[in-house]
Amino acid sequence: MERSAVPPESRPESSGFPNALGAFQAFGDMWARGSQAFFEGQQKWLGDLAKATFGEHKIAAQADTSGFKAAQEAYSAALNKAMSLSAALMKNFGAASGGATEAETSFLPKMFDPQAWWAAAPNLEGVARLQEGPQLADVGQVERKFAAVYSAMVTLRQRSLEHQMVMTNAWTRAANKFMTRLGTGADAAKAFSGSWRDLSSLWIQVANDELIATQRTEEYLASQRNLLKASTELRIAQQELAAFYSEMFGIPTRVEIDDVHKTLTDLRREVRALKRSKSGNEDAHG
Amino acid sequence: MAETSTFALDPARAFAEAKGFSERLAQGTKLFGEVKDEDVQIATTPKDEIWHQDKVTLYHYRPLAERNVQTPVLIAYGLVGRYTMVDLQEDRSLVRNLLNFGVDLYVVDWGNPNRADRYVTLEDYDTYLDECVDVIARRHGIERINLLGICEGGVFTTCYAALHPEKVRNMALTITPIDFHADKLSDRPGHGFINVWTRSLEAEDVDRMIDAYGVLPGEFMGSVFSMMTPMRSMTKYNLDLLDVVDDRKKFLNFLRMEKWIADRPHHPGEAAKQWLKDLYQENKLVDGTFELGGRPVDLKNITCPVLNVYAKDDHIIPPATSKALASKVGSSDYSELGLPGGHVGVFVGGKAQALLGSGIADWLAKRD
Repeated sequence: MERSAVPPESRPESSGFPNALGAFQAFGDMWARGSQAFFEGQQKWLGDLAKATFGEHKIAAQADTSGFKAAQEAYSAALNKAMSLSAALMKNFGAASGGATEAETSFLPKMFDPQAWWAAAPNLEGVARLQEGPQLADVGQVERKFAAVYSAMVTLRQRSLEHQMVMTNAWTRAANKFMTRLGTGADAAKAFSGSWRDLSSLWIQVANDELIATQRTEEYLASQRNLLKASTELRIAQQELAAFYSEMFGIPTRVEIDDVHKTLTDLRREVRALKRSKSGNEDAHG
Repeated sequence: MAETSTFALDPARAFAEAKGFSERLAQGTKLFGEVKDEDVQIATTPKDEIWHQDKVTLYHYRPLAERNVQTPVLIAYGLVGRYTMVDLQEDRSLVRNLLNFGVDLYVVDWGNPNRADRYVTLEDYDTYLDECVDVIARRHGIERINLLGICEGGVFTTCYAALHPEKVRNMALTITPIDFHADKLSDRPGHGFINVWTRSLEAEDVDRMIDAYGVLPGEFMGSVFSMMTPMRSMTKYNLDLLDVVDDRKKFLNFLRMEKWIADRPHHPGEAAKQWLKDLYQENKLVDGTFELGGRPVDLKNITCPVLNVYAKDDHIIPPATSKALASKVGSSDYSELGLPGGHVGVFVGGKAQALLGSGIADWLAKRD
């Protein structure tokens, strides 16, 4: 039986939310465990999908789907509990302040929601754009090219999840540090002042420090590098697939267009050099 | 263990905040409805196009005051971002500040490179810069002009001054990296992340990325910049916007900056390889092994007066990476100016931008 990561006294159904500090710390830990399960499950699912799609064709990642299904269910359960806990936490804010304000209902839940944290994470914006490309249905019957694209997609998904794990762990550390600082030290008085803005400022400071520290770790840099490589390889595999169709239908390929651009750049250099040479000669001859 | 009261919000403060929040939202909604695109124009200082080649355009700014510095100045921005930063708005404009001090000012606009420019190299930009210098010199009947390089554009002018010392009278640099590994000298959190991140890549990673995209995508670099101030990037469209949305002037300032940030061009592919591999990874400029067109860029060849301006809180180009020029340059007239603020703040921050304009203008006037 799955052991709950949330202490009984901190569960949302508990009346009056008596131990918010412990609850929030547990929330952070639970999120990390849920994400880990999700991550592991994804690996198995993608491998199995590859196996089911290609039969005897050799694809890098192969596994059965049962692991994914179990992990997905575990993750969903953990996420539901986390969201319930988060909602209860927000409700507690509102109750303590004599009724939830607009700011509290619109901003605080997002501020403390790791999913919102993720959605806003700037490092994914560029990567997300880099990941854009044709879906499986686009690749038709060109099996070898299709396999290469699919394999690249699997790798990219894997690398993406690995990076998400690094970031999720950073969130957990930030959340725990935030709660520790709220409960002790000089910041306590500030947090006790009853301002949601003070609270958010403290969270931003703590989270920023943790993220910046994380960015310097070899773990973060390696996962970023792997993610970049995977997205690059996917783009190249997609372009090779596109080149296949381009050649089939007599459309210029990317390589051919690049070749034209290279020629054009070389010609421009020659024209510039000729112009300067001509200008120099004219100056020399008055 | 903390008490429950840890999370208690004070009802009176919560009510006051909610009231203020609602008022700001109402004012903000009204402002959003009123603001038109023409209210958010940037780079509005009048200028005239005087030369154009390929995607490169040279502009001459119309004077705003009696000329105080006779030798014209050419501003060269980099390829990461656009020159419009130096003329963001009327009261935050290095261009206007210099014009008001009587500087005769030109700026080169590198245009908007795309995949068609994949094979354009840093050698090509040195040639474009040389063309601009020649055009300006001919217009004024002189042999040497002043250069003002900014960030990557500062590297361009540094290389130019080393390769064509006979054409440069004075060179001012702002927030320019010279020693790309000098970030290691400081352990300030969050500073020099681009240096660390780039070194974490393998040379082959860069090559493959350029193979795939043909350029260093502008949005990709934007994403890397956002990573450097992670929470700031997350809160800028909620908390930060909330802080300015009830003040028309601040709100327009915010939007102008957003306009500049959104206008992030792609970096030509081959030039990006040189920028990332030769400079950021291998640090060739500072050790004298960097070459353009087969010619080594020897910083000792820079013999003109040099003013090196850095931002004390620059997290993108840490001060140490700029100040490294002091021991490498061949000039006997080298000086530094450290200004308060960060990489962009030095151009748009209230105090720093005023000091920047006057500092450069005074320095040039003494060497005119």
